[in-house]
Amino acid sequence: MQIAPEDRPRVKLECLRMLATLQLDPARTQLISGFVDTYLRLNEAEKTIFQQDLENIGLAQEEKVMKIVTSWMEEGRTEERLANVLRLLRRQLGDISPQLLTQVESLSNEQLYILFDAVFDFQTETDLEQWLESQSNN
Amino acid sequence: MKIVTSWMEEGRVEERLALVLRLLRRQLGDISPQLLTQVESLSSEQLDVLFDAVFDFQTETDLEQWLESQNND
Repeated sequence: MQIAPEDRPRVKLECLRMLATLQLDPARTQLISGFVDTYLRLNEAEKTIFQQDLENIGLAQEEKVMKIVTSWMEEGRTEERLANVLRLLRRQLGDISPQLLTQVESLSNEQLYILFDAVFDFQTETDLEQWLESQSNN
Repeated sequence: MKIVTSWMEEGRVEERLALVLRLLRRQLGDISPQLLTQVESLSSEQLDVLFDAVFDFQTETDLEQWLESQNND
């Protein structure tokens, strides 16, 4: 598909707008919007145009498109949070056992945030184990 | 199959900045608005380096010097 360079931000927004109105289940919406983003990756100038156009499509539609974008951003945030918690744990305790690793990976976003601060008090793997137990009791 | 979207990358960078600022506050207390602005303007890769460097900082001056060393690169 040939898209004039200057139309790229508009085409991307239009695709997302149409996708939002289809009201598919979250997994399908995620998959299709992922393809749209991959094929229409915008540079900084194009992003600015996309943002301006987005603000002009009407509040209801803007919210629907933003919901798609935000859910992707949230996924990125969670990945980054997990990666950095693991980084702190490795720094504090060295390599942790695969069992504990799996447990940490299954924590919620909020729990990861608490763990990010708690790590500094850990001396041994046992401290992490106890912290994880206290979380599953809550 | 895993798609990594530009929005995910944006989320990652936002989170990385938030976590680095949290580490800085933990290590140095509140930092000056000027330094804050400088940290906020760092690239994603620089934030990654800063994440590890924070642990060696004792005072705001250490952060200042680190930021200067980044400008010279």
